[in-house]
Amino acid sequence: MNSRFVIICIKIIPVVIAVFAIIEIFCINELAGSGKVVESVDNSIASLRQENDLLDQQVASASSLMTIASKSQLVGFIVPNKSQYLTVTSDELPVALHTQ
Amino acid sequence: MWRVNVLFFLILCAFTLIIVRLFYWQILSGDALRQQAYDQYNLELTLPAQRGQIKFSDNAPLVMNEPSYLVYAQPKEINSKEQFSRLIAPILSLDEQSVFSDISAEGRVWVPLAKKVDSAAVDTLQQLHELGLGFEPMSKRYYPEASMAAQLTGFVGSDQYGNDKGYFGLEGFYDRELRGKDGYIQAEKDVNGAPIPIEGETRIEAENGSTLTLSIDRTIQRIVESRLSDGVAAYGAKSGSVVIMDPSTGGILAMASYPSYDPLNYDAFDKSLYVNPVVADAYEPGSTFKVLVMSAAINEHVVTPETIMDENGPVQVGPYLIRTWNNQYHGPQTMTQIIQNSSNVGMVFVENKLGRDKMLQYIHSFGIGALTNIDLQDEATPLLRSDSDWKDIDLATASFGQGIAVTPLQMVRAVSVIANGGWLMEPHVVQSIIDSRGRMIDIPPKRIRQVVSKETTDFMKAIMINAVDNGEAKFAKPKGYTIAGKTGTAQIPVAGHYDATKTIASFIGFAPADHPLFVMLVTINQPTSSQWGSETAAPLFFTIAHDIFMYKGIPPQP
Repeated sequence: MNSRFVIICIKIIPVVIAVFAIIEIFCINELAGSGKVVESVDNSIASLRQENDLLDQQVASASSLMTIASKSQLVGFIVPNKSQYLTVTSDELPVALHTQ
Repeated sequence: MWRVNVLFFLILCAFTLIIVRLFYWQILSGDALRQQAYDQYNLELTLPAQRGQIKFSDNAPLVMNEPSYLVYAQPKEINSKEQFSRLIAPILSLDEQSVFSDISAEGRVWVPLAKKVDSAAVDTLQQLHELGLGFEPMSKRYYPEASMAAQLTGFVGSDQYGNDKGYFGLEGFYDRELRGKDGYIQAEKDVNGAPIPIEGETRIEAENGSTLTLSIDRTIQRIVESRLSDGVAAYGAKSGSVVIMDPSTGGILAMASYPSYDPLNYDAFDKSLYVNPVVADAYEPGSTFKVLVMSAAINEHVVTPETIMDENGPVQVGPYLIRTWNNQYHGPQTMTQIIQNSSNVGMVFVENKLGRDKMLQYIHSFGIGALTNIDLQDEATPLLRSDSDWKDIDLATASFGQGIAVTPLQMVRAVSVIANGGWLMEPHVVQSIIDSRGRMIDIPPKRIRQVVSKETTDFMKAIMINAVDNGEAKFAKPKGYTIAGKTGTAQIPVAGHYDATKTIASFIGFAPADHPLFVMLVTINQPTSSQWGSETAAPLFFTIAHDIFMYKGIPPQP
């Protein structure tokens, strides 16, 4: 029984090797042909990075003091020339702030 | 037999020819052919590293990158070179004729047309669908706040190989950290140029440049630049500078000079504007220097704020007669009044009390004549004469800030000693560096040495507060704030003598005087509305200080 099993195994080995060889050839072929896909993924990454950089630049530009100053002027804000400070001592605190 | 010999000879010749030819292919042309073969089946791409950003203390970008392109032509693929030049040149702001001659030159297969072209121009070019026109992505510097702090940041130009290189300021000083390291991809490629993933691919990612976070406060920087340009115009001055430092850390909060330049179009400006005057220009500090000499004398206990000297007329030093700035003499004066009235005669008295050796020792201790080691490329220092070369008249004039040269930064650092309890700090602009892997390196404040005692600085603060409250510039002081300061007006040496009409007006001080948030120096070069520091630099100082109080929410005391 054992010797028959060994013989069968020995007979199967070339078939298994052949099957694996075919699978390997198929996979290599598939991979070799996927260069285009890899290239296109690389290009997409580069393009997305550029888009991110462009968006970063737009955000920085929109939040710059220069832009804020000019836009605030447009909507009517003015530079305060004179400011007044109100000093409130502890016993003059608004009622809502008293906790006791 | 002869036929055999002939045949042998012919075979020998044939073999010799083959060997010669093989020698040519294998040895002489071997490297070139190997390279050709390598290029045919290998793909090598450089992954360019992005230059690091420069950020304000609130992490808002001061200098960053924007996508741009190298635009090139491949003449062999161009259908009509005339039409190509006519269409492309105006979009790239190039001369049509020079583009035409470049792409028509014999044997040229690849012609770079323009570097760092922005995305909008490239979009326009792409819509032309011109054959033989190509684009290579790269990045260029972008300044969200336009030319703000230009002389502090420096600019990015090209080295002799056409690569980006930082010049002046931070870009120059931190060029290696900002530059980063290019990466590359090496892989086999198929007939269409696409990579073949089954063979070993070598991919080394680019290491982007480090990000610098500055101690510069962008609001204060904006206040300073705006007020300075207004001030220079209002006083009819040639130029002006303002530097503000945190006395407890040495961190620079703002640094500006006017006129300045645009780092994006630096080529369009005079090269003399590239150098930062705050760290590179020498000037005579005039009366602002008196506070340093007085600190030294108090620290050595040779005078106290109440010591009295008799200011009864000019003082003779060798063959020279030294007068007060207005040639008025007030009789008995305390040291506090000498600073308040900015008396040159009084300072010669103090210098005499201090003595030659101590005077020179303190000049050195306050960091005068030495580089501050600030992290800016363009720092320079005016040289002091050697100790043995100081004559009595040199020491006397130095006591009131003439005949001695400093940079604005040296002066602000020296006065910070009075503001922070006696310590000379190393000034710095960068407070942390973050590399491409996100590791942060903090740059801690660096104390150099203790120059004067805490007790001395307390005396000096009181003297300087009095100088502001009762001195020539008291009219401009914002009400309700304690500010310590001193005016200065120094004549400018021209061809070996002082020009009486040209002055550098300055004001140095710190506030709030009890817990100083900042030390500020304002210098106005050759003002024409008034030559005095009290009427030009001091009002500008107080205006900026008031704006900073508002920004920081510091209320006036009733």
